[in-house]
Amino acid sequence: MRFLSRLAKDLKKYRVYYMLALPAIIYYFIFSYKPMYGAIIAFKDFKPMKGIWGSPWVGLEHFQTLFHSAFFWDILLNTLKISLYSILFGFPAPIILALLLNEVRHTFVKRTVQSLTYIPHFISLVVICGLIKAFSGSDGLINDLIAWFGGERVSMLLWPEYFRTLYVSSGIWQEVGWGSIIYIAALAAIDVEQYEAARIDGAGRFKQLLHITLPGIKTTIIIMLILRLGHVMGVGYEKIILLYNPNTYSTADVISTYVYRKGVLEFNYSFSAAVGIFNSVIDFTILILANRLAKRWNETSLW
Amino acid sequence: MSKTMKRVLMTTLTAVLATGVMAGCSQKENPAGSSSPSPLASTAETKYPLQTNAKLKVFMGANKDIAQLVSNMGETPFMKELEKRTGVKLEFIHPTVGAEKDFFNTLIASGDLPDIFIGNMGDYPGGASAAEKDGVILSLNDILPKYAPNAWNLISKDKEMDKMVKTDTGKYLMFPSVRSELGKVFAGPLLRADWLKELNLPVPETIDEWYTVLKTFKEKKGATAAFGYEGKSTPALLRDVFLGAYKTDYAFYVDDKGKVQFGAATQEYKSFLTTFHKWYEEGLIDKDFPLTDANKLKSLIDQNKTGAFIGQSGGYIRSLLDKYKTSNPTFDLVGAKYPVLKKGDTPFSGQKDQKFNAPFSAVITAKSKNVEIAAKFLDYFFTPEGIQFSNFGIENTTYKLENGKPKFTEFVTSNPNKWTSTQVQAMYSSFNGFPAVELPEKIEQLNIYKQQTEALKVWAQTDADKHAFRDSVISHTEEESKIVAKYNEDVYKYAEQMFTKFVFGSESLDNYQKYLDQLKALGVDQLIKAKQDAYDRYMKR
Repeated sequence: MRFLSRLAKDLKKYRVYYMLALPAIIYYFIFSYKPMYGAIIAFKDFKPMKGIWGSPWVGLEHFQTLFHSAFFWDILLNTLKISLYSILFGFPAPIILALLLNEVRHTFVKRTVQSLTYIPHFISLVVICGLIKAFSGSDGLINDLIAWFGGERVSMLLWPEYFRTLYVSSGIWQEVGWGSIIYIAALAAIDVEQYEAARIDGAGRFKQLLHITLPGIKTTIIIMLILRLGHVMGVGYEKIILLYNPNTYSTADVISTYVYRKGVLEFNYSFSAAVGIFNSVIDFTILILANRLAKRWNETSLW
Repeated sequence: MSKTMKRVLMTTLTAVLATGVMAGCSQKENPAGSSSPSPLASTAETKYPLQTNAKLKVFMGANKDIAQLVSNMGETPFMKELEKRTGVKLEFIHPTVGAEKDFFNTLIASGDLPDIFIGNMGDYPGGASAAEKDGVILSLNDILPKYAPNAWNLISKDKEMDKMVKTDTGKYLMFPSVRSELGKVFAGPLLRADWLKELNLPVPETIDEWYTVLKTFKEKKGATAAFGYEGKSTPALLRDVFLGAYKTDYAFYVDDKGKVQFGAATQEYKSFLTTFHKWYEEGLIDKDFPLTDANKLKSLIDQNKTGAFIGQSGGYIRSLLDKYKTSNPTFDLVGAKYPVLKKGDTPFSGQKDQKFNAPFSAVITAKSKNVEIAAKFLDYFFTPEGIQFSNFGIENTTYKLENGKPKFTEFVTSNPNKWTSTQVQAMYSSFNGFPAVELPEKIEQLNIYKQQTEALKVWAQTDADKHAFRDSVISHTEEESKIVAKYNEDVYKYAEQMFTKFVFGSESLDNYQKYLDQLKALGVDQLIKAKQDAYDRYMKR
């Protein structure tokens, strides 16, 4: 009760500020909270024309179908592996690029490199995948290079052992420039006087990097990492569907592609929703854990 | 970064979000939607153009051949003329090319249905009869005789058609698209006739002869992928062509005793895999075939790396012969019979469509407010004038009457805009669009090369009619639909995966029994049972 009366007082006093916040609140309510109600179809046998309430309850049947699927462990492990490799190699890449660019003194070179690296981000995924196919095909650029060094040509998308490497490395190529923007912005905020002071104390460029630059962007790095860890289960299906084939299912098939085939193509919306909930619960847990650990070790956290 | 994040987040929550949208829509839905048309005056002969202000919303797949020419099917000359002739305004809803099935499913889930739906209702879980029961589409039992006498006439007078179109419980749900006898067969094995001639080889008939031909192509013509095929887009096609020799078929088929079988779970399939593995090992098959799509295959043909492949009479024979007419006049193709093991045998299976052309059949949705108009509009395609129009297009542009018979003009046979024949058809006829009653004369005139006519003749010589399992005409009960939903994806996924593994040799064929056991564990027997029950009911209709 005390909370409500305090809120009423507060609302009256800061009317204008609350009005300013209103659009954002409405946005989140409509697009993020209201749809959560639809999640109950995970526990129903959903028939579109009967509506959500008209469809019969089935309890945990869809979750059981997922866990008992012969491919469940395969797709779960594939999802985790692809996601973790993406974090392991993909997360540091934009940081390294930002640090390297930061050392470039020539503005023209810096701008050009920056522009070139973030172009792939704006290209349609379908085109990107076309490029990947062309480059990695047995008569493609990569194989030309391999053959030039005396290696044997191999059509990389055909074999399961290359899939993750291709997926992760092409992902880095696609997003490294775009991802580095936020770090470049953070670098710009570091006080120039600190560098001057360090130089007077005799610190070389590497020492400056280690003791001023990196600590300067540490907070950004940690926050980005926590956010990234928050969707470990969320490997997107579009790129994988464009790149995989039955022979690479063993490493390429992930939860989202399985759900796409089983849920969307075969009309099992309830099943898709069940998997969505399963993913969200795991992601949510990881996010909380990561945030707590960050807080304990570094006093930086999302909340 | 934030954009990436959003995308990934969205994928994670796709299901949850999507269902939210559905929730929004289904709440708006009005439960009082009357499904029976108002009893109006008796059927006088329908006069076109209809006097109406109604605008019909039509869901239809966009034709991929003309995607660069028009952005909306309503912009084609055919559709504009159609609106004029029927007096009905049309509004089209299109899925992205290649994503028809997703779009169809999401549209139904959204509950926001158009008036007319053109597509394969067999894709709906449980088929058309389930769609009617769920309140997605209308039963046409009263509507057809009343408002669509021409369509009704065609269905009720043709026993075979009648059986394919109605449900187990005797309901009529569709305005069927009808293939002519000549239009049922359109794809099969093709070989470079000029190479065969040069190497003094006969057109192969048996698997052994095929082997010799492919080996010679590889050795003498340097064809590194002697046999090429679109494994990426149409993996089933390859098996359609070669499995027949081994008296089986891929996926579901009906054996000689009337029993439904899953081809990839039979002993015959093993013999096929053995042969194919051998061919693959010896480098006779395109070694990247699971990645090959139509563009890639055509470039292999251009580079003389492939001398045998599977293709359609229009999309391959005609377009390739057109292409090389001037640049390489010796280039020639020949359609081969579907291969067999012993000379003189009839192939067990092959490409052959049924008379009822499911993907282009039309249904009226339960949400339509213009049922009468929609039925009369669709009936136009079954009137003599409508049939001529949907086959031949617009008089004096695409055809001229010669002795009272329509004859395609040069605009179609050698188009001044350099459109391909499929493009002209898609622009000026109801090709791959509205349901059409296909005329054999049309097919005859479109096959301008004798190679086409001859290929179609030899491709037709199979027992496909007896053995093909037609998913689009059977309907599943709710129980059966559940079984399909539970096992289908896993069984197919495993079979697909193992097909490439066995052919590549990354899995030894010694483990074939293990593979069969695994299929059983994944539920293939339950699937077969469900299909068999549905098939038996179909046969009893």
